[in-house]
Formats: sequence, C-alpha cells, structure tokens
Amino acid sequence: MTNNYLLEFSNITKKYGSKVALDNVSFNLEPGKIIGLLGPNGSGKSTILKLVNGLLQPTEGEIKIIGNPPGIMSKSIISYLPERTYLNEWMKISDLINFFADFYIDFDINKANDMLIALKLDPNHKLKSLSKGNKEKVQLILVMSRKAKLYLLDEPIGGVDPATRDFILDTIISNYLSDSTLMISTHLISDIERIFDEVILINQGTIYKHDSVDNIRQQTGKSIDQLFREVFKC
Amino acid sequence: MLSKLLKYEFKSTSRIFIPIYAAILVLSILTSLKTTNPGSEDVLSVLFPTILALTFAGLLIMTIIMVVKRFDTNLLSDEGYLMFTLPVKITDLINSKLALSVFWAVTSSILFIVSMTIIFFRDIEFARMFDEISMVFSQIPNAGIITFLAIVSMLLVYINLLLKIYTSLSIAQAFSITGNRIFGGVLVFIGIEIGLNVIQTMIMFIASKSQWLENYFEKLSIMMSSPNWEYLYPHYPVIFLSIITVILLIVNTAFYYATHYFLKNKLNLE
Repeated sequence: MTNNYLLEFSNITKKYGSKVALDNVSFNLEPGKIIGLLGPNGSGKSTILKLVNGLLQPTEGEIKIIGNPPGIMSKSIISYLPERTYLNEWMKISDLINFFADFYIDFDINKANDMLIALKLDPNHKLKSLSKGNKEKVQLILVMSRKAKLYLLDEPIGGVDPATRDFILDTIISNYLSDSTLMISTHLISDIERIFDEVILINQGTIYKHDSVDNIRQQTGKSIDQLFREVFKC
Repeated sequence: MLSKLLKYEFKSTSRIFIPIYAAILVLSILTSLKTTNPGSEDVLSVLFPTILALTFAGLLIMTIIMVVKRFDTNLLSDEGYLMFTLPVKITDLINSKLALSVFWAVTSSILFIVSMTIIFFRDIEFARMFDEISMVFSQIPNAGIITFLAIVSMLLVYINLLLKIYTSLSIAQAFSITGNRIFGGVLVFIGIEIGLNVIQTMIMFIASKSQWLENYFEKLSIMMSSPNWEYLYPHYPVIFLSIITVILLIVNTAFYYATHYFLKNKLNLE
C-alpha cells in the first residue's frame, strides 16, 4: 500500500431491494482526524458505518481498512457504537466489561471502571434495569474504553439529555488517542460541531460535500450547522 | 477465541437449562418417594409423574426453541451488531452455537436416564441388567462398532437438523424474504426439505435403473430373510451404518458451509 489511508470507501453502491441507500459513494479517511458524518434521517449514514463493519455487504464497490477488506483484522482495530442497543439484557454491567476485555486486547478495564464512576453507573446493575439513556452510556463507555485505531460512533448522543451530551462529548474527546480516527454520525450538529476537523455531508445516498471544517467556514462564511440547515432544507 | 465464545454461550444457555434440569431432578425424587408406598393412592402420586412428563416435554420443546432463538437473537438481531464486530472467525461463531446445542441435547439425554433411574431404581436389578447387556454384546458380532456408529449417526441426524435451521435462518436474513426473519426461515426450511426430497427421489429413480444395484438388493433381501442373518453376515449392519454416517457427514458439511457462506458474504443486518 502506497497511501496511508485508514479507510478507503470506493464507489460503493448499496441497494435494499430496489431502494438505493448509497449511490456510488467514495471517500477516504486519514489517521488522526475527527470526522462528522452529517445528514438527515435516512440519508445513508448508518448504512456507511454498517458497511465498514461488515454488517452489511455492498451491492457494488470496495471497502478497505488499512488496505484490507472488513474482516477479523479490521474488527480488532475498529470500535463501533451502533445506533441501537446490542447488549445482552440479562448481563450485569460488570459482565459486559469482562466480555469486552475477553475479546478485545485493546480494551482498558481501568478506564471503563473510571468512566462508570464518573457517570454514576453501578457495575452490579443488570442491563434490564437500566433506562435507555443509561444503556447508551454503558455502550459508549465500552466502545471508548478501547484503544482503537478507528472509532465509528452512530448517533452517540441521540438518546441522552443536553446536559449529559456535553459530558459524553468530553468523554469521547478525552478518551480517544490522538493518532486514532473518529467518525461520528449525527443530525444534532450544533451540539457537536466544535469537535470536528472534517465533515462529510450526505443526502439521499450521495455525498454533497467532504471537506475540512475550516475550509467550509472560509468558503461559505457559515457554520456547519447553518450550512446543513440551508442545504437540507425541507 | 472459540473457548471464550463457548464460555459465553454456556453462560447464556445454562440460565435456561440448569433450572429445568433442577426441576426434573426434584420431581424425579418426589415421584420416586411417592411410589415407595404403594398403598398411598393420593393426588400427588398422579400429579408428580404428570408434571415430570410435562417438564420433559417442555425440555424437548425448549431445546428446539433455544436452537432457533440463540442463533436468531444472538447473531441476526440487535445482538448481532456485537457478535459480528468481535474479532472472531465466522466458523467460531457457528461452532460455539453448534457445540452448545449438541452439549445440551447430550446432557438432556443423560438426565433422562438419571431421572428414570431415580424413579425406578428399586425395581431395577442393576447387576442382572448389566449381565444381560454384556451377554447381548458378546453374542452379536461387531456389537461395539454397531453401537458406536448408531450413536454417531444419531448425533449426526441431530446436527443435521441444527445446520438445516442455521442455513434456513442465514438465507432468510440474507434476502429479507419476509418481514419476520423466523417466518422466512421456516419457508426456506420447507424449501430445503422439498429440495432434499426431490434429490432423494431422483437418486432412487436412477438407482432403480441400475442392474448392479438390483442384483445387490435382491441378494440383500435373500440374506435378510434367512434366520439369524445378523450372525451369518456380521459386516452388513456395520457397512449399512457406515454408509449412513458418511452420507450424513457429507450433507452436514454442505449445510455448514452454506451457513458460513451466507453469514460471511451475505450478512445483512438491517
């Protein structure tokens, strides 16, 4: 491999039956960046993240993570937060921590326990007894306690209140390693805009814009949130 | 990684099976105690065996439901987002499900024997039973190999059912045949059964045209109509069971790789 892209997403088309979710989408991600994957509901954000994780297969095109297709190697360096809760309801928080520690060599138990304390979550609680917001927090803690090369967070702040949002964003920023790449999909842009280096604006399965936040602000004179509201006006 | 997957698969399935096993053992002991004094004809002496029988029926149904649900819930629903992003091989995911399903079937069979022994241990003369069994074994030629092959082929028949269920669900998720994945799986399962039947019928049809096979079956029927055929032709049961075992192994391998193919190349967690 001559380039040093962490993620190459080349000419990807994904169809669900006859419905086109992604139409010939291409982009590359470099290491050490925080990227916002922005778009309205149903624009294809989750589909992109699921494709990178191998949970969906592209209809056409090719995905490479450090030069390899999604597989065991990519799974060991990607930390993925899906948009839904995937945790076993019968497990305790502490069981889940052990589960992650068992399967991911890069999982840091101490970090996870520190974050549990900070977010006032009792490791002995069963997942069943937690609220939706608290489940999301547990999931985020598990995902951010890994020392991954690529973090893919799908709507990480969707289900929590605004006060917690700031805390979660701080958690994300303070816990990811500077040489890692972080891609966050969201439609709550104003809350999160401040942390992005780059954004990918996506609409109806095609990329509208992929540029650095600074460039976009200079060229348009607008914040990402303003631009988003203009571009995706109903 | 397989050992870790097995550990978690055991944890999540034992939550269901251990309580049922405990209930069966308690009910077996209660039934056994009730039948010790034959004079006492009360409600309990009918109730305990009835509940026990129902619990065993429940265990059987539970096992099949568990096979379907574990595969469907853990791999193809929301939990699949976790399982398929673990850095493990797809074969390990299948193997762990398969291994635990076989494990619970074997332990359930052993439990059945234990339960029957608890209930009837006063009526059984164990020494005589073992004598008789060893006598039969010593008289029938190749009894050891035959028993072994019979157990192996029984296990393979069970594994065949498991793999057919896995293949059906994997195909159903790949093509989102119906809104409900399990219903889609049932449709695929029925389709597979029809397909297998057609193939079987075709093979039988082609075989019936073969002169060599006709002669073979003719010889076989003469052989089996003679008294004590199993003594006269001691290799026949071994050959027969071996052929069944080989056929099952081939079919099971095909289903295993079909499941693997659809989970690896056609995974579609929507």
